[in-house]
Amino acid sequence: MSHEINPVINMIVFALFVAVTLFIVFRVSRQKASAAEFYAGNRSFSGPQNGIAISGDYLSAASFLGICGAIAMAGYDGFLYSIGFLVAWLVALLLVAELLRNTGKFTMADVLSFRLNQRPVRLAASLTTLAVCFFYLIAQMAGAGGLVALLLGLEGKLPTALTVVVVGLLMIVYVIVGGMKGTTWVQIIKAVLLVVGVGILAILVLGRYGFNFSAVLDEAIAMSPDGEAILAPGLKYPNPVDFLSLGLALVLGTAGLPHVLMRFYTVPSGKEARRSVVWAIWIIGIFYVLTLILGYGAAALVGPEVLADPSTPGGENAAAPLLALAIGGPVLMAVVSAIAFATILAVVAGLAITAATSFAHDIYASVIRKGEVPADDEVKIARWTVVAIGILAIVGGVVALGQNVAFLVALAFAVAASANLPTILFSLFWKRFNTGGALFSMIGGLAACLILIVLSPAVSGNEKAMFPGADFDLFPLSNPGIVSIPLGFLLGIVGTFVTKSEPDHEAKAAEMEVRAFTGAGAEGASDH
Amino acid sequence: MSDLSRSPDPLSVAERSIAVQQSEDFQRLRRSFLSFIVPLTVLFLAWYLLYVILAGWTHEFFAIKVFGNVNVGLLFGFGQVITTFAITMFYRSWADKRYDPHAEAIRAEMESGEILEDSATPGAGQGAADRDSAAPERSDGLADPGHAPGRHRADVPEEGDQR
Repeated sequence: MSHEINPVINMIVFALFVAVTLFIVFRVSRQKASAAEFYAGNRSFSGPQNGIAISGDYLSAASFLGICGAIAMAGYDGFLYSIGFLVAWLVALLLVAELLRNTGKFTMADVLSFRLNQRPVRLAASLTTLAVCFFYLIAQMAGAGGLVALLLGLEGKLPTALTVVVVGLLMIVYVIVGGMKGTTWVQIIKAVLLVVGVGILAILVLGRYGFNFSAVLDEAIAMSPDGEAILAPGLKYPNPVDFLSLGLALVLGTAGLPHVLMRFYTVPSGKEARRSVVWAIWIIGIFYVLTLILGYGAAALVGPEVLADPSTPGGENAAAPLLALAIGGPVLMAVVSAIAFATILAVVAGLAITAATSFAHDIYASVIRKGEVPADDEVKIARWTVVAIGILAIVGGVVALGQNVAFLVALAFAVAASANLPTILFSLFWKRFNTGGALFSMIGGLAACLILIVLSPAVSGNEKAMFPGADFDLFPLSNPGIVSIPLGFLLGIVGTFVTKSEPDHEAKAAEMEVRAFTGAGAEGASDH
Repeated sequence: MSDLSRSPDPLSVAERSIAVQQSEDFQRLRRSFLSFIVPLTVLFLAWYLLYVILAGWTHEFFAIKVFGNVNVGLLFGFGQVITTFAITMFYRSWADKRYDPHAEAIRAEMESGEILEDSATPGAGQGAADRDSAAPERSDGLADPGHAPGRHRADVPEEGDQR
């Protein structure tokens, strides 16, 4: 087995992907895009298209490289992650997607401000949206930038930082030029490449072992220093309470991720939003089953010892590319690396447009300008926000390079589950819920997550922490979910009872309920 | 001449919303949705929590081999995947066949802008939609701001709608 990485082939395949996606983004772009076009692609995507794009938005580098690596190293515990990521979609399907699509327009805050006092609610919702996007973005940029640099054969701090800059700049171009339409197509292309690539790789792995999964596991056991323990849980998460906390954040966080919510607005109706989620669930579910094969395949064919070796570029995260190298040589590896690169770009583009929309539509147009702003100006501000977010993400990504920022993704899910989901569910299903409840829940949920994570072992108190030298790990769990999620729901209830509702509360609640359940008056597709 | 004195203007969105919301028809729709969704949600969340708890606290149970190297843990994991797919398709077929036609009828009633006095009886929504053949297919009925002074905006307020 050769470990030779061929940076030239890798670079060519990367360049090809960038060229194709840029071409498409420029083709679908319009100089003077309306708000509905820039934020929601005119709501003209079909359910299946949006379902594929949702998978492209959701399956991040953490899902692909991270889970393959985690399964290769720690076996079963990596799979636990995938299950949480998948089952979470039922919350989105049953409770959120259609009702949100029917009541909102571009952002999560649209739904909340339908019947609540819109300026404070928009401000708070924007804050949680920006927080989630920012944590997620930094995690993607830092982890991915490092990996791509290594796959290209670039070593040292400068080339790695340069890769982060290139990823950031490409993200800015995709989003500014293509808006939601361009971003969606990048996500669709990426999702197709990812699922097809992972599918082929899985078939090749199984083919090696006569299509006998149990034989793959035999070899993985033989290669692992942990032996049969890789087939059972416990290697990665020795503390079950910690895992329960993470599991809650995963299953309840997905339906509160702002970049996922925003995708529901790109289809013409609630029914299409439902179809999108059905498609997404199938694609995501099949993908995670395939990563199980790839993960154990990498354990068998690459081996945990190689992945744990500090001289292996990318370490654990390189499990999937190295598996491709072992099984199909440098060309297949180049393809898989390019897919990983595509994955990063599609996810960061989705995050950037979500953050920009939230700032321009909620903070700038509604809070700062009090709604008196021409739609053209709003889109202009959104485009400038993309530049600002891109720069922030590049700087944050470079600063975070080499730091252990893996906890940021889990934190993003925890914030989504504690600050976003309770407010969304209450405003859709609980008539009495009011502005006070929303503010308590969003601000309290966000604050609880941030405080607990700062006090957690992910930040200080051990050698794997962000600040290994410091010692203020008062909270014993690395994920705040088990405390912050119930707190978010509780604060929503308490806030509602201790504050007064607006005088037109009842009429607004009635209007919202009728609209949520029937789609009456919902924003439809627009033609341009 | 009570017939002529009736205003040709549709009721305000707020009045219409409350009328529709309180109609027997809408209440039936809401009940059918919740009685489908709530048990299903409780079920899949409980099933997932059971999985996470077993995975966390009973490593030996998950390690029991069933056939070849495939153990209880892997089968449990696949079980989660399969139930997720099953619930997805079950919900989809229910929503397409049962929920959508009912919701569509109430939506047409709401958007036609004409709530009949007898809208409290089931089927009134269909009647309203049939009678007003000019009823726009979608939101235009609500988006038209010409009538009904003092109505609430139907779309999410973009203007500085201070409340």
